[in-house]
Amino acid sequence: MEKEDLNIVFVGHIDHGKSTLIGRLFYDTKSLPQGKMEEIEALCEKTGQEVEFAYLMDHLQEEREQNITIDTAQTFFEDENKKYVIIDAPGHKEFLKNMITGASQAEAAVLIVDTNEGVKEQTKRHAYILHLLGISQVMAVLNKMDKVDWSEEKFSAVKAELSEFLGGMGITAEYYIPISAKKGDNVASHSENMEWYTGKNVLEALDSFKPTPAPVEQAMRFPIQDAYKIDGKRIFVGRVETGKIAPGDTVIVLPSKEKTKIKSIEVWQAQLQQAEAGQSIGITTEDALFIERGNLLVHEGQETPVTQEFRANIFWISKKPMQNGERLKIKCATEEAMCTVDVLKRMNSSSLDINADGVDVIEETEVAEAVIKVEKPLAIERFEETPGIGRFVLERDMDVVGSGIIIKTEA
Amino acid sequence: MDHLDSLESKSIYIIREAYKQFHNIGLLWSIGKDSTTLLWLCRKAFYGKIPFPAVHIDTTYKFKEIYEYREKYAKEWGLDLIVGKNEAAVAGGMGPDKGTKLTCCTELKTNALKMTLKEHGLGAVLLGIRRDEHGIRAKERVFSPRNKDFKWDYKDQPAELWDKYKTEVGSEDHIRVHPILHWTERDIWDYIKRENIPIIDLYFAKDGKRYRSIGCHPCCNPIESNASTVDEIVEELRTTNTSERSGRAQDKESAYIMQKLRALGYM
Amino acid sequence: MIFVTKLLVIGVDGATWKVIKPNLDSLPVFKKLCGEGKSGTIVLPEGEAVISPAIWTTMFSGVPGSKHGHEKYVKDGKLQSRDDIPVEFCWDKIPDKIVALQVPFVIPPFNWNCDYMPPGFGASKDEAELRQDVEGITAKAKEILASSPECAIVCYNHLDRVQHFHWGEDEYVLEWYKLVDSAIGEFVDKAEKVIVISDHGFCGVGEARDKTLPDVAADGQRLKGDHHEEAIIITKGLDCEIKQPGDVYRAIMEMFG
Repeated sequence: MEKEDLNIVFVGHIDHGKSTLIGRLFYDTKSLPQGKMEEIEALCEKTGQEVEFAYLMDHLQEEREQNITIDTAQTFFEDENKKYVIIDAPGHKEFLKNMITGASQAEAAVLIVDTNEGVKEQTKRHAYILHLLGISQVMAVLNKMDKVDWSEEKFSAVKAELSEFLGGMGITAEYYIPISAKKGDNVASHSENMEWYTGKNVLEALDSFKPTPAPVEQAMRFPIQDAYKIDGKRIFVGRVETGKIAPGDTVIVLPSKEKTKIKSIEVWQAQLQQAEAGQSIGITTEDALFIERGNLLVHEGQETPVTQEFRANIFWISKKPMQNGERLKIKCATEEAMCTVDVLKRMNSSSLDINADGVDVIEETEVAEAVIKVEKPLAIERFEETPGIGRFVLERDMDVVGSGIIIKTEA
Repeated sequence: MDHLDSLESKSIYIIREAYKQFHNIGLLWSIGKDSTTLLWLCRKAFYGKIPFPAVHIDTTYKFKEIYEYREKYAKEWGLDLIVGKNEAAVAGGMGPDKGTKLTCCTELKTNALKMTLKEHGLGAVLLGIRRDEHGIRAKERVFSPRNKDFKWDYKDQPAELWDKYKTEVGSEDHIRVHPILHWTERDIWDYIKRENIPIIDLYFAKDGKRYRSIGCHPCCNPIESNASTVDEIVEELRTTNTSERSGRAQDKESAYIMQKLRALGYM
Repeated sequence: MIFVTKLLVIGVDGATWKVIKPNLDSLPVFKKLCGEGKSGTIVLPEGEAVISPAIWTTMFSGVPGSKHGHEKYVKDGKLQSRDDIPVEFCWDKIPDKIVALQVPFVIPPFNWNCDYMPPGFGASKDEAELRQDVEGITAKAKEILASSPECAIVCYNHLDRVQHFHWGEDEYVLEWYKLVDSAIGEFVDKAEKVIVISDHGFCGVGEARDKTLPDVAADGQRLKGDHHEEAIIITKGLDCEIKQPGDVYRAIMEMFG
């Protein structure tokens, strides 16, 4: 029986113990290279340091030189039930675009907080990014309990602080687990130092997370990627974003709102009776309509709004700030267009406090609520309805400079 | 959709995306199992007729089986085949015995590829690399820019999220597209088996040895194995994967060292 | 003084007369060795790769590069280890008489009858790590010589790393020679006979007989120095002459084999 894969990202403030926890999980699940632990122990002894599991990750990666994780490095560990693909996203603000790249591939997240230090700037920023990316399976791990004498009181205080912040942006952490990654308490086994905690340990909690199922039961959304002419047939190719599609279905082409029927679903050397979310297919239509890349096919009666103005939260990840009203390229599903961004509110992505300096520019790591004005009509949806259609990236000079989610389909 | 279906769908999406963005694209086909799987996925993406060239970099030191296989399937699959060669270096007698093997690789592979991309005006290439090959690949993007010296700036890579890829670069640069980055070696063999992809028989054991990767004959060593069918290779990988955990983990340390060596210019 | 260690081989990867000769006054240990012993230049033969893995292998196995074929630290994407090299080294033949520390024919460098793991696995170019490594090797070498093996081999690969990226920055490079010079000085007088040898010399990129490395490393740093076919040799108290790297193997086998 094939083990399920689960992509999981570890986020949190720098030095709150991400690498240590990952190292500990490797160690406790016996996923470590042979002799690695001994080598690290010897090294630590020689340099007079305590054995630090973070060395492990760092040893396996170049990042050691800078003592921070530069990029999103992927590693694997397994327990009996699952294979976990660990995306160790960098905690340093400098590498935000890498952190986002890594986290965007995750199906679940572990948010790590140093109980002694409490919720810090990056704890909040990373939590916001999880929200932005729509990662809903989240556990909060309150680390370094050994430094606060395993105090339940201290744990409860940080938990309260954190859950208030997370709740404020609509994230519900499924677990709050007091741990010591360094000593191993509540990581893969239950802690004898914290009898007062009776919940799941980290490994058990991970085990309860599920790979994201393909959204096959939702309304059908089929963004057109390209049009090919194959043996005289016009085939419109793309990947089904949500729902199911079948020959005979009446569909509406957005934004033109023209109506036609699906004639066939084409894959190489075969025709399908049905295709569903996640499948790369091609379709032919009954009517010879002009369909092109960027169009969205939906079932009749389930149309998305078509608009040139909508409201979004934008997360700016470029070092070079955005000027209010700047003209940028937007890429949403398979469509791209030029747009301008009119900022309404400018916020600090960690505190979510409104920046009182006005809205003339948006700096790196800042979040803006803005009205996006697109130079041609787009078929869009709110992110909460269909994440794949309700999110976009912004480009300037060939680079992604911001990402956003649609919060209202009108201005 | 099962596991292989979803790997396949994702790869096809990437391939189609690459073609849409870069009509001057080529597929780098080494004839090995990974790039042949990629080629197969391209055939699927374009309903049998790949609308861009397959580029084979010929060092002139390839196994004879590679040439036979290349000619046979280029014809059978109607490929627009480009054979790239560093003619000057070949004429000058470049080989693994002349100078170092490193210079040989640089001249006959890297420089040959540079020349071929330039000669045919290719701005993007599809490559069959996988994340599980070694550590540094974990940092690879699906769309990965390289400058004119083929330099990969892995410390400053573009953001890549939600299937939105870096699709534009400066005129001197090119993009490497990695449609099977998310596959593992196991996945490749499982897929070869399921799809019945014809694979060059150097991979299958003869007299107790087989090749796990193929390239130039002077620099390729076979491994000990009795796996003479795809099934047996799948089985061999399954068992070695579980029994050689420490061996595999060792690879991570090796990968770290190799990354450091690369930063020193070695390799 | 009675020496228990009969032969000490000090390998200095990448050391070249081009830096040592004009700066002998700043390098007291090299100066003293040159004065007490014989010094010369090894010109590596045409056809042999001027590259560390090959030459160190030849030096301690007597097998020429064209026969052993080990040229790269990484082959076919795999980091090479001792077992990948089809030769018998001197320590394989006389296992009890030799202690070898950090012989860089593989990465991490090879040890025989001793343990030492260099920071950065011996593939570092970080200045702090390199310094730490010079200190670590020196401390270990002193420890080894205190236990008086018949033959001790100690190698430093730091000048190679530094020169690749700083060739032409004369003062900076000299600082590293001084560091190695004083390191060697801490134990060089503990053995009866001494060989100090480099695997290859150094020169600017483009000036070498065979270009061995790319212009730019994988992390984007430009290489400024390349391997040169002229290596250094200093011997003290040795009966035979070392004309080629393989002669070191023959000298060891002659003395202990």
